[in-house]
Amino acid sequence: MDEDLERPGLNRREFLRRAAATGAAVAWAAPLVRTIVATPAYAQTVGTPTACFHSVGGRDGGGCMSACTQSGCTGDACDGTDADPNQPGGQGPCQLYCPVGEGGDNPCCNPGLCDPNNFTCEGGVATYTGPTGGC
Amino acid sequence: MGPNEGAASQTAAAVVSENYVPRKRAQVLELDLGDGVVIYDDQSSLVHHLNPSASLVWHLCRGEASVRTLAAEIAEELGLELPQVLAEVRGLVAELDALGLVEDAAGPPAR
Repeated sequence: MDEDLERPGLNRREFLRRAAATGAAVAWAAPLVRTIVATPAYAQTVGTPTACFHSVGGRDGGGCMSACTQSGCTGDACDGTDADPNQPGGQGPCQLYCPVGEGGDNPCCNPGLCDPNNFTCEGGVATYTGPTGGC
Repeated sequence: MGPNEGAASQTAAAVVSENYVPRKRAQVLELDLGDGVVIYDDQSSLVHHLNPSASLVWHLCRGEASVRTLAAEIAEELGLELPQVLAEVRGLVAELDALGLVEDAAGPPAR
């Protein structure tokens, strides 16, 4: 797509007309996003969709709960029914970062919530140690 | 209220509200490859490749117009059927939202 298309001040209509004229958008197809984990140690293509939800999505389809419990903690610890001094209100990481009521099957605020490598379990307390962008 | 406030669907095929006003988040870097865009999110360490159609929508995520408006303009300018484009744009923006790449400019600040 021509860099000129993103020139400041270019309105959306003009942008679309230029995109169509330059052929950049002539062949409209279903929009797709493919995601790759950039960290070499965890590098793998995870395909589409890559959305991370409370209990669905992510690498194995089990969402935050699956990723968190792989740390060795219980589902209760991950979902937040235990008293956790590190999580205000006794919320576990999946409850804290993928709260009920946000819609979209309780989406987590960062895809890292579905990565098992981002959780630790010490003394029965589950802690999320991954990125929090968007949270 | 969280960053996904506009994500109205409770189904697996998540879509955002037609009133969601997508705006790119500040922490993402993008590279236009001509046949798509590559986005790097420094905070999640994820790299995303958007196909040309998704890239077109991505470029329009300026926090200026709702999903409904964007879909209508795309459909009109490219000669496409609005219902199809609207459904696809809603689904795409929901995915971008879930990935933390866009936020709803019409909503309150993210937590």
